[in-house]
Amino acid sequence: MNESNPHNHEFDSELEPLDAFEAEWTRKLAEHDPELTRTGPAFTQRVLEQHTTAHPLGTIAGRITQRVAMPYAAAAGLASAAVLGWVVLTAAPGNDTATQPDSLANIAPQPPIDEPVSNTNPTAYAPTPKVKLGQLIANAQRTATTPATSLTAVVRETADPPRFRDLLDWMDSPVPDLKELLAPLEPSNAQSRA
Amino acid sequence: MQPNGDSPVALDVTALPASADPVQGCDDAQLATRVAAGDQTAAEELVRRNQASVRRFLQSVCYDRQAVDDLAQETFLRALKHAGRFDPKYPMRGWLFTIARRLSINHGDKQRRRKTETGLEPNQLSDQTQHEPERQLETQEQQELTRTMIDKAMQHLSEPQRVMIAMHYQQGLALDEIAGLMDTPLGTVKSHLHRGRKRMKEILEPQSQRLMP
Repeated sequence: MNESNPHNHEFDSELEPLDAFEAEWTRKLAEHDPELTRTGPAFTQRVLEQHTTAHPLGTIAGRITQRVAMPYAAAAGLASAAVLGWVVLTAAPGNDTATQPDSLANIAPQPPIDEPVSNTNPTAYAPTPKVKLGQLIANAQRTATTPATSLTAVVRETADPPRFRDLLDWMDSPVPDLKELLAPLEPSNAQSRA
Repeated sequence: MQPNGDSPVALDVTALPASADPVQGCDDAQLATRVAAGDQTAAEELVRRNQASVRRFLQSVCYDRQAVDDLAQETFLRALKHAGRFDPKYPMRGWLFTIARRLSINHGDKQRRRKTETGLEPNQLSDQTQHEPERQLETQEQQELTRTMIDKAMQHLSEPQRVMIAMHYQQGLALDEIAGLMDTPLGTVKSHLHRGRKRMKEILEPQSQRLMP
């Protein structure tokens, strides 16, 4: 080492050989960790799953996944989005499913299709969608044999086409638009349809 | 819900085009080429071959030991994504270590100096083993404890010293390979190793009885 200039990082000579103590701790530093071997397969699997998901076009399995699995994923996502939107729209005060018979048709009474959208009193309606979501889905699942059936049954039984399109549009729109969709669902209208 | 009303399509893996040559016999360059071409089997082999080394490297180098597996995973994801950039002049492990090192630095190691994960000073490194002086540790326990003590001592080194000691003494890379991978003069590599060894001796030698029973 260049001792005349302690700031010079250049090492002019060969490294000194390891003494006995250094040989021992460097040997231990290099020792194999059996835990890494034990957890190796799971680690490898996680990496490959992430790699396939992130780069579907770059792998054979990814290309097949894209062709076969994506339509199913898209359909499941659409059904979930539809149910979520339907639940939020129909979660109005007075629409208490606990007091209504267990029937898909009675879970979420639908407003008339030709009811005009009104923004005259947007603050009059204050939904609690989180509470309603659990109740409504539980009710829907009680009348269905499988969760998938319950989702499609809920959508089929309760959403009419124009409202369905509104739901999809709403799912794509920014959050503030929620007020516009919820505003026309006045509590008095929901109760009269129960 | 089915897209066309039919039963779900079963994925026949036997119909997938299989690699002509087994990957186990591929060298690093061949493996990287096949990974870059989208060969999933080659990707699996790359990870399988190198995961223990990369994870062990990060255990010694990374300040945040909780992040080791996450950083290792990210290392491999980047390597698989950019396999076409691998330079066969250096060993695959070395390339992976440079990626891991950069990720470790980005994670925040650069800001940590001269502290262990538990905040212990160097002369307190073995305090954890003094709580049960009567209990005879099993061999595997002792090995694990020793590894942890050495890794904690490494945290007292500068980042370059830590990385180069891990690359050379732990992973067995040659000095000129380290210099090339880190784009550093050979003399600088030796300097870091010299100073790192000296510092490790200062830290570990007082604990030599605990460290090497």
